[in-house]
Amino acid sequence: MSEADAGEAGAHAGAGSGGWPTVDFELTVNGAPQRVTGAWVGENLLFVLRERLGFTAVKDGCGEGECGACTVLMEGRPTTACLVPAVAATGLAIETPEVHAVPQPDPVAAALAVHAGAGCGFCLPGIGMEMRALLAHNGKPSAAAIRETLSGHRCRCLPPERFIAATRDAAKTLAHKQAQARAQADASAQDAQDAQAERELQAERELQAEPQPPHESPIYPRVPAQAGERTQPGGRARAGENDSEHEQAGARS
Amino acid sequence: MSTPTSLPGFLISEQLPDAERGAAQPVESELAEYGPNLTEPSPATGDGIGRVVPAAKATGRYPYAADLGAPGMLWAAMIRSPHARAVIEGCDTSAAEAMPGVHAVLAGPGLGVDQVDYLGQCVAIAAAEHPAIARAALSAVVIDYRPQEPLTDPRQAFNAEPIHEDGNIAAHRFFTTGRDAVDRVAAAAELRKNAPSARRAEAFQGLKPGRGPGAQPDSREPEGGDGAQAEPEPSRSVSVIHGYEFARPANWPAGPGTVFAVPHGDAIEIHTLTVDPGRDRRALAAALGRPEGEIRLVPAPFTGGAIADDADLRVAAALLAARTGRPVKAVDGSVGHWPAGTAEPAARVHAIHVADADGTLREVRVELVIDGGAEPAAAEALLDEYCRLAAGPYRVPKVEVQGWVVRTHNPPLAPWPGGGAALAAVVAEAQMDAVAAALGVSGLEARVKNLMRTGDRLPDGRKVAAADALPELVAAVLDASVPPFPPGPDVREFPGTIGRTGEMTRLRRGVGVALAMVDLVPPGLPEELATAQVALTSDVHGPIAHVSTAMVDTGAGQHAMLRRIVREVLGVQRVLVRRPTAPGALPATPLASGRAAWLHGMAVQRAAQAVRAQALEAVGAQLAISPELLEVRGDRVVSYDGMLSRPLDEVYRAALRGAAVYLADGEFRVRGSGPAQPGVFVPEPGQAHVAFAAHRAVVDADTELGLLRPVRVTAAHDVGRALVPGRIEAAIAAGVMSAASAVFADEAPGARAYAGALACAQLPTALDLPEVDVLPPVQSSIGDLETTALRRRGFSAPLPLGYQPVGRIAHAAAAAALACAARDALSAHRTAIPIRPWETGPVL
Repeated sequence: MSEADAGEAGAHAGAGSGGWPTVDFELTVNGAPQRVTGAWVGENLLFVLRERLGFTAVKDGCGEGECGACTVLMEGRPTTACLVPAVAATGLAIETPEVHAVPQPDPVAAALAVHAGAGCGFCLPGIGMEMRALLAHNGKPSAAAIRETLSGHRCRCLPPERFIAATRDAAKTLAHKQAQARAQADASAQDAQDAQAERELQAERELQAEPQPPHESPIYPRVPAQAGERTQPGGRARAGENDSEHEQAGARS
Repeated sequence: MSTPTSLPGFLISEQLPDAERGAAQPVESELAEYGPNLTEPSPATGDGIGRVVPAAKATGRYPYAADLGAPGMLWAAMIRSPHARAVIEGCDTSAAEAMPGVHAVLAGPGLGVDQVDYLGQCVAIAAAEHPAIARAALSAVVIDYRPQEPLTDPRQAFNAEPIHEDGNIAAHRFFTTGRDAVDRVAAAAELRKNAPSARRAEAFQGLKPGRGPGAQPDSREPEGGDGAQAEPEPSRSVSVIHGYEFARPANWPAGPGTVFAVPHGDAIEIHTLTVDPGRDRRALAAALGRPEGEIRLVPAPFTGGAIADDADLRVAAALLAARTGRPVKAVDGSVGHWPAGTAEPAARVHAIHVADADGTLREVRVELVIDGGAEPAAAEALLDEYCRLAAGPYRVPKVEVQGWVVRTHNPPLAPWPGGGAALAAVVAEAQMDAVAAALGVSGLEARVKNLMRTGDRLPDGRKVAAADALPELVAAVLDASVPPFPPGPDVREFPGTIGRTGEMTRLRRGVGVALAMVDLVPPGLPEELATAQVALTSDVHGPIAHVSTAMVDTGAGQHAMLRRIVREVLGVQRVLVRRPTAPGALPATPLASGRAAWLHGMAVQRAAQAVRAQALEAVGAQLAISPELLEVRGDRVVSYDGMLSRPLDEVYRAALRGAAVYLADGEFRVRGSGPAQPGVFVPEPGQAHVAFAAHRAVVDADTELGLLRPVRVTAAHDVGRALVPGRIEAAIAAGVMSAASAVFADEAPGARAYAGALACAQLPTALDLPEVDVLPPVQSSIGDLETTALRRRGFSAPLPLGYQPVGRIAHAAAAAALACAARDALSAHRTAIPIRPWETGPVL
């Protein structure tokens, strides 16, 4: 539902009239601000993301935080959106699987499609977010580490081996891309980045034929962060760094 | 006439010149796949699944029913009865209906529910503009219950007052071999007439499960059922008696059921999970009291593990959509937790195995009671399957099996994973291990000594058509490598996994080997039918085939299999699968799990063969050979004897010139018995087609903390003929995982109080699931309809299409093997499933 629809529903006695406490707030989803109006105060983040803002890649699997299908990244941390009151997510950077689908599936989604595409697919978006967070701070996870990460997710169709293979595949691709990116940065630093971002933006705009707010992937930094450099919203500045959250928050412009 | 680049409907019949219009009428249909790039057929990759759909799933763009929406949509909620048995004397929905945002409330008699027959029965539904409002409205509904005394212990069903006009016993089976036929019939009739006496019910309760080894060397077997002939036993035989209990299975689907109903005038379109749209539409039409033509059931993409949505949910969504005239989304979410309240095992089995001192099995007696709950009709198939497989894949001279399905006020039994085959395998394999222990030999020795051979009889007297694969499967499983012991060094690989409690000193490993069998065509089977339609035509990119089928793809690759069949028959790479939109098109009977893929595959194969004959008519005339004798091999059209051939693309260019379309229907029927006919498969009288599998499981135990961890399951299957090998491996792995959940699911005591609560189930996580090692499958059959030709070439009893069920038997074999391995690790003969290592007595 777009913002307009959400407002309309609120005005149509969905939540507003009849004494239901409603609330207006703003969420930052995939780097862009999203305004929510007339939401019932008891809605969880999952409901708001799916039904009010249209981010249906986040799945409702159990409603009790056990299955992991609703996993999103909040400040870079995997979180079950069904257990987060929507209003409590104000001011926090939320990342959903949609941001990694355009302009084409990112390495994690591509690897999942290849290795784990044979099942029903319901668990894939949630597992994808979890794996992105894992790979952000552990570039070469062991099988046991991958299984432990997966243990918060329920897949009924496929054995864990498929996801271990997918994660390893994605890790390799990411490492390769990071090496490439570093080489590119050495060659022509920021100009190359801006041109690339602009091209991606253009391609994405052409594909979508709809104005999209600019976003950057918070998880995969393209260049090593320099001291004092603005970090990207919603993630750590660099893989393996122990930047405290205060530093990141302070550095955010 | 310009060549269309894509066919908007299924076929444009105006394109067929009159002379060529055959008897087949094109079926109204739509493409069966969702997601972007609908017109791009899936390429022929190794697993047959293609690229487009997996990418859509991985990026979260695959539209499940829960992702559908429409302007003006309302949300529906349900509440369920807190009483197992009650009369609803009245209800008051005025407060609920007065709430702003509520559009409809139906409760109790208004919903057609006057009597509550099980705990959790749906008693009220409501539609509102927000799911929270719908739930709040339902909590404002006042329902007047007059509770009655419920029957919840299935053992009491025999003696209790009838709770239904049909009585408390919903089904009964009695099979026995090793006795004269006349006696057999008379004994069965008498048993049926008397239905178990009070003495029997006591005897049934008197055998306590799990106490002691139960092995009594040098003793006579205790008195069994009525009519048992107590023959003097030779000395030094061993008899082993145990009672097994199986907890009620819960399916825990990956997503809560969601049904989306949209009214279109008088008609209703319903998006829901279903494997059999025809049957479910009929049931829904009957429940709503509307003609079938007004209901359009659209199979929604599957959300793993669920077979179908709750029928109550479908009816609720449809009723509310009709009542309010607005689209309704009904979610059977966890928020609707309701007390399930029954800790009663769903099945109790008592088994007696008698063997000679040298290890030869002499007699097997099994008695079982299945709690069918408030709607026990569905459990009859479970009982039937169990009884026919009760002795396991072993030769036993004397077998007596008797079972009942009883009606109680417990919730209706969910579909049992692995079916009767799983129950039978777990019990039979446990008994074999117990017999081996009593004799002092290894479990493997006991099994190999008594292994079934082709021609041996099942308990119902039928001969097994082909058991030659069994020794090969057992050998394969034993030869396979064992996981390293001890596990680790990562502590997460020890029992206790994420808790990191694993310690070497407390670690014990158990190994279990189990054999399982699945019967493909039970003799009592009435006719089962599947139909399909195949069309061959061309577009700018070349030849393209369309397959219309009622078979739903649950994500397990069913459509990939159908595409593979069409590719093989027609030699066309681009195949699109469609589903019929008109009710009654492509008639099919409800198909049991284990036969659905077979029948639909055969129907598609026959349709494709008919289309091939039509398309190759011109070539056949050229070669002076009947087109039915031509096949496609690689890139050539070849005669059956290989003597004559033509290049395929040349043939198709000529045949498909001018947007020609070749269209044919195919159907395939299966009957349990009766005369053989073309297009109908009937097993030879007295023959049973049985699939086998052997699994070896390795389970580690922490002996102090009472934790079990399955490490690996090695699977050897006879798959008949592997059409899509990737699918077989996935099916076996899925079966092993569901078996691990069934055997090791660990409910906190008292937490059974809530159904639908995932937190209470404590299902195995990724660290608790075993590695699955699928050995290269034995392919014992190449399969074709011409069974005589194949027999002449030495294949024993092949099935058409060379089909064997795989997923079901994987669950059965894995569950039995995991349970055997757990018993080995604990050194205790646990008889309750799921296995709870810390319990020392019977489950209460």
